Amino acid sequence: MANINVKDMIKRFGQTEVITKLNLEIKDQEFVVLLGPSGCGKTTTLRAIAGLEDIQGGEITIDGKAVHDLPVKQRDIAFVFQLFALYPHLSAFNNIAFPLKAAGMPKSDIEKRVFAVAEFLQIKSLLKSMPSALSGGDLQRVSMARALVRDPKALLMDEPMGTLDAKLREELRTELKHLHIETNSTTVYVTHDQVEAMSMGDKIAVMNDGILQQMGNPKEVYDNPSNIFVAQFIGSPVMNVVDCNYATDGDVTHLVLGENNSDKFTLSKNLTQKLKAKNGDSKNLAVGIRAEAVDLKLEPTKGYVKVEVEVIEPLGPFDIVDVKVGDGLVRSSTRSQYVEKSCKHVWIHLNEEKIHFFDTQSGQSLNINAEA
Amino acid sequence: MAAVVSKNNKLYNQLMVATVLVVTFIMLVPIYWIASTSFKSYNDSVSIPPTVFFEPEMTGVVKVFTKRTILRKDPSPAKLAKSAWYEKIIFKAGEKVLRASAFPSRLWNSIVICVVSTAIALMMGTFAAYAFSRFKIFGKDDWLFFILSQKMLPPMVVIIPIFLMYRTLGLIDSYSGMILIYTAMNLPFAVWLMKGFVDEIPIEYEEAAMIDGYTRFQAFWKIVLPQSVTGMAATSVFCFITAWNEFALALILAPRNVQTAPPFIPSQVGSGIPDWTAIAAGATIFLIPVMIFTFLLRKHLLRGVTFGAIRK
Amino acid sequence: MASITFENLTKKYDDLTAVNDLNLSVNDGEFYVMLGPTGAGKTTSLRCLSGLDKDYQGSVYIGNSNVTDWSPAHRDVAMVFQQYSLYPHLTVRENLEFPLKSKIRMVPQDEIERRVNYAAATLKIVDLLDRKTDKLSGGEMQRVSIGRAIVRKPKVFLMDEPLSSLDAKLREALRIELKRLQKELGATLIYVTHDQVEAMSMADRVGIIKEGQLIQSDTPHKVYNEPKNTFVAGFVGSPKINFFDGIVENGRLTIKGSPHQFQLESEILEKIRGITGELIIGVRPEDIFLTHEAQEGACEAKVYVIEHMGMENLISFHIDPYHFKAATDSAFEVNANDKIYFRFAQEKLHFFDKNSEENLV
Repeated sequence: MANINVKDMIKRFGQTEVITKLNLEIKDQEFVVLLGPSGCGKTTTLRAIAGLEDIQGGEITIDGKAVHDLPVKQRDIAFVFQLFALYPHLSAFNNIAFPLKAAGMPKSDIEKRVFAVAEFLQIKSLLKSMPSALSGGDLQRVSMARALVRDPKALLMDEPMGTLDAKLREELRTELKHLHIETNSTTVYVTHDQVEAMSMGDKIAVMNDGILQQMGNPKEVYDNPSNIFVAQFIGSPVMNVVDCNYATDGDVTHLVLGENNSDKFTLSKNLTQKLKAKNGDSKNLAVGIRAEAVDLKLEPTKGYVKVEVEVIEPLGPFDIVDVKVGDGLVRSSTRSQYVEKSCKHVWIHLNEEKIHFFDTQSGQSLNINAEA
Repeated sequence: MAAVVSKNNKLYNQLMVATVLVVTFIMLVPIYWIASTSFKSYNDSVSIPPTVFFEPEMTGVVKVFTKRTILRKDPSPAKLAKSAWYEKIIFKAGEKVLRASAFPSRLWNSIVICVVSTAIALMMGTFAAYAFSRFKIFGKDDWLFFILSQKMLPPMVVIIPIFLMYRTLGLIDSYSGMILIYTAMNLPFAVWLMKGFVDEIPIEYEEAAMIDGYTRFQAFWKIVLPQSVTGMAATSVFCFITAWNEFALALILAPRNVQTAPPFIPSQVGSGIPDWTAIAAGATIFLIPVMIFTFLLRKHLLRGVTFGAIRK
Repeated sequence: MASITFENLTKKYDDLTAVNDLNLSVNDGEFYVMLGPTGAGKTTSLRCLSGLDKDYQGSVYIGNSNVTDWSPAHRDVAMVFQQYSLYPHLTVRENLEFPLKSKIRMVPQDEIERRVNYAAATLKIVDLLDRKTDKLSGGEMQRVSIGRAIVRKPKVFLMDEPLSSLDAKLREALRIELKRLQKELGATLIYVTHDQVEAMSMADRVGIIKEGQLIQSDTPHKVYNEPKNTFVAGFVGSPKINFFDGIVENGRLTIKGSPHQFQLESEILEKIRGITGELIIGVRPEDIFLTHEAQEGACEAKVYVIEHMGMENLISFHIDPYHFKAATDSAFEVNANDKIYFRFAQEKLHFFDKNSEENLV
């Protein structure tokens, strides 16, 4: 396996630049997820690494060796389009052997390698089965074996679970992550599903409009999103992001969310200083807060603001309560059935440790908690 | 897999472009040849090696529009002064114009027969395709195969029985007979092609309309038809071209008044040495209507032939 | 608006029974979600209700009328499809007007305008009215589709996976909008989906359908906490509930095939009314407690995979022969192959019969 480096990569289709100066550092044995909405350039990036797309600028290196001028064959990577896309008329053994046969390897070597990889992935007993007789998890193992049998430098996967149903995906992503722990293969995985990205990635590279927004481990992108896009793309329910302004009042900071709102959230005075230091007197300020950091009470509580309950969404393990703040909605997650249907008003408070502020013009996070 | 990159890719691209140019050239040569021949003099048209650079003249064009006889003696200067430009051209070629030829009327026959038969085939094809696409029909696949099987027999094989039937029914040398045979010839094609297009139109559109209070026919008319314009354009071009170029049936079934252009043009070969300039001129003019027709529909055509291949 | 009743509805396609003896009443003004995997027959039920599918057995009532033999046009229902139902050759306004211009409705022009403007304002699509629909984004398209249903003022709204082609963020936003709109209009709405999150979050009641049969019809809370059988328990909830074979004996629960045992609390034993022997036990990920150190009543296991989901960590662990997935606080950190200790929130355990897979409680 190997490390992959993408440096200042530019990709154009005709006049349109679809990837702008992309930098990715993928370490040996790392599982990196390229995450973003459709059309963000993640698949193009993956295809460029594979050599299925040429690039107009920058370089791609695998183990320090520039590969962007090499044809696909010489890059020595495995590309998985669809985890389950096994040839239905071939047995598991022949499916795994297929890439080796294509390379014209002698029969005895093929057998040796297929058995080795099958042993490793614990599918030796399945080698004679046809794909139609295999369960989802086994199919995935056979697919992986087929990808790994050539001993590639890296595994590239393009939404390999895209067409499968939710329950199976849930099962398979745990399994795939486990396989990664076992095989330690450098993996670049493309998806638009943030749940997949969070659950499997050692690192997540969030992309939008051909630009890398943030790269970090799941905890980093969740807890310290670098801008509004990342903040709202990662996590479900979507992070509340509301325009706000603030004022100091004695030894507290008053935070007002949205327009047409007289309700003030009381936060520490410290916050004013931090915001001043980061943002000066700019008026373009938005507060971002995840649903689980919006604390909700059923009775009037000191420091809490009275709000109207708009919609209650029971999700099973917890409920999401959408409350009206100013003109907009703020979502709070609560214990299941904590807020009852008949309930008209509740009191909420924002957890200051988990609060984010963004510059609404640039969308960038002010990172007020980063230094604390 | 297009799997070569950067430097290799450039060379690959250049090779591809070169190949395309060569193929295009090969394809265009006959067309250029026939168009240029129609403006050559008789001597240029038969010279070996062929002339590439020549002085264009209208002799061939005039010949295809005229009936002529051999000029026995040169016309007097007075007569020459009185004669029209085309007569002068013919004099030069050593012939005399007798009267206008039937070529314009043959072209007109072609246009009428092809336009009407294409319209009918398209209409019937669209209805049939819709039915095959949307309704549960007993033995649907067999029916579709049966329809297509009509195209499997070369027309020459059945031409004698058809001729006999036509003679009994009095359809020989009539517009209705020609339109009927061309419609029949194109219908299988229209059904199959249109079925592909209708299949691609999501049934949800019509269902939504039916829930909204429209009948099935209204839904077909307001929803399916506007959305299959592309397919209809492509189908009509293919049908039109097939009918336009048809030779054998026209030769047998329409020998006189409703003769179409394809059998007419070679008939100009005449009894003496074939006059290629006249034939080439006829063929060139014959190309023009179908080119105009295709040109007008080219936008749909391009989308039509790639339809289904690329998903939006 | 009106109530809806399916009475012994059965629909067969050749030898496939898509809907099997469906009996269901949806109340006036209710948001009812039919939830089930692909091919369960939920869409077919909807199509029978709308009249798009005919030749079914049983009866369908809308309000007090038996509409079994009525054509789709006369049933006065509005349907929103997954996609495609906007006409690409018409503008947004023309799309909204389309249902009102049908001959059987005969809505006067000024009324058409009033209704279109109302729908556009409600759904915030006023700016889009003169655009061609193929220039719209997915979210805008679905807003217009819903608008087209609203202008009709139908007796019932039917929606067939209207959000499934949208991205996650938009889906979440439209979910709330749809629920608010339904409340505002007091509409009777039947919504078909395979996405349990959508079903749980929006429904007044959820009907879970499997292989053409209605398995359970209840509030989201009940469906989640009191699933009728293992299918419902497994279908609702993400991450999925953990199942294992357990043996209840002498007040103890043994995980079959492993030496792990738990002493069951007396309330639990009371709840299962002395049932003993082999059962299927279900436990949701959030009802498993993990610790790093050994504890009274906890069993040892080996960590298989850890997934950082931001709000929580999902930890899969292995005790032969089962894998379990537990949801923990995001601060709980472990590595693959570490030793951990787990125990169950006993009051949240679900007990199912080994053969019928029905909930025993």
